[in-house]
Amino acid sequence: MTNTELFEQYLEGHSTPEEKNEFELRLREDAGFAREFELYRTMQADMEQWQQTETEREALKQTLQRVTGKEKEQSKVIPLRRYLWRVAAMVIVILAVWQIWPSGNGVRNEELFAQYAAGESVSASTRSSSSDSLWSRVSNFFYDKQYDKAMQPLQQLMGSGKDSLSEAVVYLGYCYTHTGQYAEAEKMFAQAGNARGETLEMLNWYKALLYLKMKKNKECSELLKPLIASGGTYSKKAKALLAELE
Amino acid sequence: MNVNGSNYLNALLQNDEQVLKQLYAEIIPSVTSYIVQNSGTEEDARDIFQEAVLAVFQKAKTGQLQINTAFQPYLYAVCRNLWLMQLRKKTTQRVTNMDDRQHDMGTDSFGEAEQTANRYARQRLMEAQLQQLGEGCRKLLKLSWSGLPLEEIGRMLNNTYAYIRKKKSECMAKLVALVKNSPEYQQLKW
Repeated sequence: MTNTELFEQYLEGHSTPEEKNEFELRLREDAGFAREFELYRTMQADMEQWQQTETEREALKQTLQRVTGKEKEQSKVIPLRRYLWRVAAMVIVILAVWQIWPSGNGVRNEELFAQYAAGESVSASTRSSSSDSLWSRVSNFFYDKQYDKAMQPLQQLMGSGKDSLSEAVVYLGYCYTHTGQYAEAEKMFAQAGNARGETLEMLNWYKALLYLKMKKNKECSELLKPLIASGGTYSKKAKALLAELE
Repeated sequence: MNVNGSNYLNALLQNDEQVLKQLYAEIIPSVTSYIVQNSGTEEDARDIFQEAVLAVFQKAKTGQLQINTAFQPYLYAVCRNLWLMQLRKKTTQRVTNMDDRQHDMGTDSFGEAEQTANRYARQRLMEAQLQQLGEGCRKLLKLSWSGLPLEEIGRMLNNTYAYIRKKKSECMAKLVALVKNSPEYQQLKW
């Protein structure tokens, strides 16, 4: 077994009492081994904390870019010709947006959707062993942002009619939102209307994201308000999104 | 509006843009002055302010942040430490201005600021080195750092626990080697 495997086994708490004693004895007697273990443990702890704060850190980073004016600065120095081309392109885009969409906030909505839908993961609360592998596949597809592929195992879960049914329906609605199938997404969310507790919160948050993507800002805001008031899992994100919309 | 230290810390944790703007307005003149006098530019100062706030955020999230002084001098000290690290990285130029008269602080808080900057620099270094690994390793390590037990990751990736544990050890060994071979490794405390 390599040193890193030994460290892993010890830190995961999978050593037998005998292996644990042997490991700790080696830590006391072999300074090089102890240094290597200390480095491993530090790296592990640092990165666990880094990973677990990723979403909040990214949000803070965006705020800081606005606060320090870095956001504006990135597009500040542009050669005149390129600048004129950009202006012309922007005019065309604005005209297109004006023609196609009833409201002119389409691009902003897309940006907000990308920002607030980032990092959503699957956490089905009640699972049976028979549905476990299906949930694992869903979770994996969500991690890779392959929402089109996540639909099939979700449909199987719905068909099984077993545990976490409302969660599967909500997640499927969320996949439809991502793939632009809004009518289907609305159908799924309506079907999950009897959800309770955390699933209901999740349903409302995903419905709000659907309306955001559909540029229905008023409907989106209406859903965000009770989420904020509940003080639940989505409260902070809902508050930030509402502030952006207002 | 008078904002005290703990309010600044809360603002940072709550991502409160208004209060962060006030903090920026208060501290950026002294940070800029220090950095410009030590081979940097105003833009460097803005970057360092951002990095320092993120460093304090990371430390605060551990629940082990202890500041025995006002928040601004503490943040200034983190800025200074981060800038010194950058200077050491890119130049051998001597740092000329060590004047901290505006920002007197106790030895404990100074040490805390140094630790905060060092820890953040370690995390940034590891994040950068992580990008050198293959997609499989990156994904496995990120999943394990997200707090999922290896058994659960094994199920997600359709592999056995034994395989995942071995694979994670291999990926970590690669990451450790990359970090140790990077020029910044020796400059940081581990």
